Amino acid sequence: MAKSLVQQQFGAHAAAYATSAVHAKGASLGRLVELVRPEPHWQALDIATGAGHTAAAFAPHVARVIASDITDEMLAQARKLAMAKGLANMETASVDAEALAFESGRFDLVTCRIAPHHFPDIPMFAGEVWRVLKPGGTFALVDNIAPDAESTPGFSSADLREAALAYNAFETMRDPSHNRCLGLAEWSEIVTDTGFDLVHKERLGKDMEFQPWAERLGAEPATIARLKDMLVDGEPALQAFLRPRLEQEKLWFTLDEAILIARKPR
Amino acid sequence: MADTPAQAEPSRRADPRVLEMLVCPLTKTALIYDEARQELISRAARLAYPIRDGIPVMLPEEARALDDDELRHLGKK
Repeated sequence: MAKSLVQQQFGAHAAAYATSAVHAKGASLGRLVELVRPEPHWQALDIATGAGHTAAAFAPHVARVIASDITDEMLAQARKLAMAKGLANMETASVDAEALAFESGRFDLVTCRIAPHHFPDIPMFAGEVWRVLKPGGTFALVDNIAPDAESTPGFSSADLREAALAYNAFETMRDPSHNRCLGLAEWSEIVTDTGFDLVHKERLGKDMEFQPWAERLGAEPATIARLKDMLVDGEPALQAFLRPRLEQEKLWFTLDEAILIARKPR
Repeated sequence: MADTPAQAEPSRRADPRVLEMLVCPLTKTALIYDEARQELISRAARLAYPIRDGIPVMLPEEARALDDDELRHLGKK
């Protein structure tokens, strides 16, 4: 269901993502390169590249990176970025994350950053990543996560389940193409169930100013007002997770990003 | 959006090093490159995937269905 919604949403707002500070310079991007330690002979694939920021961050460190997405306007932005940065080894292809159009065992590295929450079938996506990686290849994943006992301790599992549902409803209200953020424990389980060795995982808080976050995908003012209510009037577990607060009269909150580095065994 | 990339850049050919890595997303089988039509043909899925402005579009919903005549013609190639 979500695929054409994703194309509509990101087709219309591609330029906003090209200039989004979170997507271009997010702390997780530098951290990801640092954790992955790419090698100059590597063939890399960036899935759901959006405006191409992750592919562009890896391009100087690898032999070649393919930036893939299902939205033409996003790929146009990714190509512009590659040209602007003079990255001759960054190519673009329109490819679905759950049905990768690449031969098996072709890549040393597959990255996917702040995108799987749009994917309808995460285990299928993970299986496809596994397929296209060489033995010994690295899967580097970043995504927003939902609250669970690992990220938000001190609440009952029922409260955390409610908080995860409420958090995903909050994201879907702002962006109808949002499918679901998983919890950190759920991610770890999917990655290891696929057969990967999970070599590293960490959480990174991402402070967001509410207003630009709410407006980036063109939400109506009435929707933005409802989002604000959900943020400031949420149940305690949701509040503990999102940490809404006023700073210099502006509403801020914190999203949690998970970084997972996994390896396909040799 | 403010600028249209299609006008800002010349049309491009797909990179052959990318094309040789691609398979049909449905059947994972090899593709036939039709350079003149700028299509990647999956005989197994009976689909022709377009290459637009040098970007291969490997999405079944964007692909052209091939009829029996076209498939037979491919068989003779």
